[in-house]
Amino acid sequence: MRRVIVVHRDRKSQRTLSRVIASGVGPVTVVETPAAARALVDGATAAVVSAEAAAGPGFGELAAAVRTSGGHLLLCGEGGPTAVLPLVRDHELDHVVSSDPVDLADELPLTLRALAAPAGLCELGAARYLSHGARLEELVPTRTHERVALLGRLREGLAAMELSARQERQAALVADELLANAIYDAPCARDEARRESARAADREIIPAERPRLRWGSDGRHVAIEVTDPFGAVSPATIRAHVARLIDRSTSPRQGNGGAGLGLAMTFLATSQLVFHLAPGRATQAIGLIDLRARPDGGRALVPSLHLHTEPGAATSGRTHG
Amino acid sequence: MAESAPTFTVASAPGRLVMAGRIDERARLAELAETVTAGPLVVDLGDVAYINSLGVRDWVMFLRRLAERGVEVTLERCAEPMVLQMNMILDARGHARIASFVAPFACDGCGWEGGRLIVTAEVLPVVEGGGTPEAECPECQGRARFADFVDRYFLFLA
Repeated sequence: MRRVIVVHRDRKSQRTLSRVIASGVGPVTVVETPAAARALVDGATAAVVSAEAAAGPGFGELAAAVRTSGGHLLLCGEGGPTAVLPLVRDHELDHVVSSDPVDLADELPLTLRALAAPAGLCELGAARYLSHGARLEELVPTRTHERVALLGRLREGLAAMELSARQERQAALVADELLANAIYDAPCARDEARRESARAADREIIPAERPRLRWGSDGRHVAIEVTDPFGAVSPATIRAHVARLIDRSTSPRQGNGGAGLGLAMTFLATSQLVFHLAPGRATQAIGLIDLRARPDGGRALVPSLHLHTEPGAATSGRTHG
Repeated sequence: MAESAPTFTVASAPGRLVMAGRIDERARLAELAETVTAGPLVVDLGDVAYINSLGVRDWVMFLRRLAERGVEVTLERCAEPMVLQMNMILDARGHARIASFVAPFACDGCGWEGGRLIVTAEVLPVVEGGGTPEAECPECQGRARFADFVDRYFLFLA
């Protein structure tokens, strides 16, 4: 990344962001408006923008300029989902970072480094987001209905970690929904001619199509990782599903397939939801759940979202959820 | 291998259903709605441990079918997983009245975390007045604070 720009009016946030970026990544320039940032875009640029600035004038032009430069936009997650998610949807943003200074110190450098070198993210997987040495357990379902039993194994592992009932439930939900997506939706996303199989029917999953569930913890976060071998889900599809949280009048999808709510529920259950998208090769979803005692009980006002695409062919994602 | 959460169970008495365990694609709530006779219905959700997206769809269908038949529904002891879904989707509450529900609390004194039962009629004036509910810690009897965002957790009561 040739340049990192922070766009924020609040002095304290400017200092926090500058310190995190300068110490963890490299030089940073601070401005107060998208227009001022736009004038600085030169070569691949990463712009970290406050939600307030992103909702104001000039953000669309900044977004276009950054994209043209081959750079990236990162939105600060200030405000609830109804404030942040419309910006994500309307400006096709791939990254929402935490507004919490403690979280930012971990999350922002990791994100900027991944953007600078996006190859190999799927190989590292959840280990990238846990402290060095954290052990990951792994399970691979061979039949569709084995999902429920696998979740039982996960829950036994989580119980041994002495998580709170809420944290255990959040982790189980993340694994449940991501595994269902990987088993039922991902094959259809790659092959549009393939009909989504009825979830009531148990069937074998052929070896080449088996997803992988991994989980682990470093005492700060529990990470749930699900990887499918299709690599067919696009950032646009993920954004569309998460955007369902904007409007409470959304309804579950009817029929034999998914309800279309799983990804939105997963997002809300995490403190950080990360996708490593390797087009045509793999889709890897990682949900991080914060285990630290916090005034909000560990639920972020709006979870962070990261959609990293590894270099490769373009995707043509269909439904997911 | 072990089950991921207690299997869904439902106990029924005239005008009353008690649901417990895991609400997912196997719960078949939409079919359960057909067995409910006319008249007011109380649904106790206090022991619902888990609900996934397919369970939400089934639950929404359950409420819709009851509404189509004019059954008045009151929800009691709504467990936190149910509250979270009602906060996310209007249809997950539907036309039901909420008599009571569980809210998350935490004690800074002894570290206890857990749910406490809240009576809607008692907490609503507090929340609408901009306040935050409090509860007694069941372990040290100290003051337990509400452990979520007030403006988000109580959205479903509006």
